[in-house]
Amino acid sequence: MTYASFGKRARSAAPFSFFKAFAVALSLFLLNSCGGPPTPSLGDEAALSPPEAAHLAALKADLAASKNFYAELSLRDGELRLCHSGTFLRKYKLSGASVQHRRLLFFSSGKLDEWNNRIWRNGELSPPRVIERVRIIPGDESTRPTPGKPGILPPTMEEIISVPSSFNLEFPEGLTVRVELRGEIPGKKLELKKKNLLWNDFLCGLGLRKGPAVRLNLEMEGKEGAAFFRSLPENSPLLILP
Amino acid sequence: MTGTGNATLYDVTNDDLAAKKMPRVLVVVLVLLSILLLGSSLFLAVFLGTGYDSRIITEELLVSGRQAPSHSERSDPQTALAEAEKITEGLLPKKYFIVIDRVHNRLWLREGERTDLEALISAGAGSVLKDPKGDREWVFDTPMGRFKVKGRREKPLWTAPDWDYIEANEPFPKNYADRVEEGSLGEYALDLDVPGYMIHGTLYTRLIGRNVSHGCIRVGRDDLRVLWKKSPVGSAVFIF
Repeated sequence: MTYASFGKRARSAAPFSFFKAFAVALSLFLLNSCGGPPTPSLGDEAALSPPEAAHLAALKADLAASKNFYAELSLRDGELRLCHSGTFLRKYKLSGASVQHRRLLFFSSGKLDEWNNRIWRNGELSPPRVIERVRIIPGDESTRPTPGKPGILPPTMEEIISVPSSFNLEFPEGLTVRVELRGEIPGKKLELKKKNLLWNDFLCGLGLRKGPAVRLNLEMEGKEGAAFFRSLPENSPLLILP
Repeated sequence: MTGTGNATLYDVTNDDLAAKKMPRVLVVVLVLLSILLLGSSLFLAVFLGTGYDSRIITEELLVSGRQAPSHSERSDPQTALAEAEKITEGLLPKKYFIVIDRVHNRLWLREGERTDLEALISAGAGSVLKDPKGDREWVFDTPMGRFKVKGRREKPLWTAPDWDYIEANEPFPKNYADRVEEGSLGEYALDLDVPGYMIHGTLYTRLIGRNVSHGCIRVGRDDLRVLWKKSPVGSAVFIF
């Protein structure tokens, strides 16, 4: 046998098939991991048992009576709602959603079964929202909130609160809601250093980095997602509807 | 002969060497390749199987992920449901209420889920003013939360606070009456139950839709007239 013939054989033999199969598997995996979350296809009505319906009503009453803002996530209706006192104030449309559980060697690790029909508290935005406030210089018309002279336009909130193309709502009890914004983001954008998400997830799975047990991936249009990021009051609890 | 014999011997020896060495090299290469393949496969299997899986949200997934009801909810669900719904209903705003998005400068007048008016407004600028001669500092944000209309005024007067003079770099007036202005708040003012904040008209209509106020909500004339008609004292006002 010569080196040349060995080479020819080698290319047409088993390792090639293995690589091919592996490449297909890897592509499918990457598509699954990096592609946009698919739109959920759920029925309109949740078939809740009487105790579950009572539980949901109790959670809603608890939030309504809290005298604070809270958010409701309805995966069935495909929307996030900002609420207060039992009343929705604004709805933010979702364009897709998926759920992820942490795993180690294909086995769920730190699995958290009860992630919906429950309230998540003490959530924090990551990256945090920063308001670049204008400091007024006495006598300087250009820094006044209402300039007396025409032609000066003070910035809007959309121009002083920059929004990243994706952000997380991280709850310390083991849930992260990741929001990916698609399309044009109105106003100021926040440029973030790109993270290697696959590697980061791998380290989380191994337990070498802190990560949630459950991650909800939501996809929103840039306008909707940016409005939610800019408006969500700090420390708002999140009720995930069943 | 010797030369030929040597040459033959030499050739034979080379062939032998090649025949013996080639498989050895091949074996080494194959072993190395196998180790490499096995190692990388093992690493990739670990890599692919570790981290987060991804699932489409299905009915089954939602049902399996529900939080279990408490003992009282399980033992008497009807009573628990009725009590909870009664609490929530008691907190809902009655009749008309106002919703204000201070980030996007929008106002909605609503009755339940029905919207009767959607208007552009001007909410707080969010800017900061420090008194150069003292320790006072103002942040011109519109407050957030649930409020109610505490008072209603026609042809309201505005009493300019200290920050207005500091901002303009002007001395404070000697007489209190000199602080009072007519017309700058428009035709009506709805006072909120948070001191100093109101919904009112404006002279600066060109700036409506931008964050230019010192915390109050400025509304255009026509929209303010609708609000005035439908927002009695006690009406709920939600600002986020």
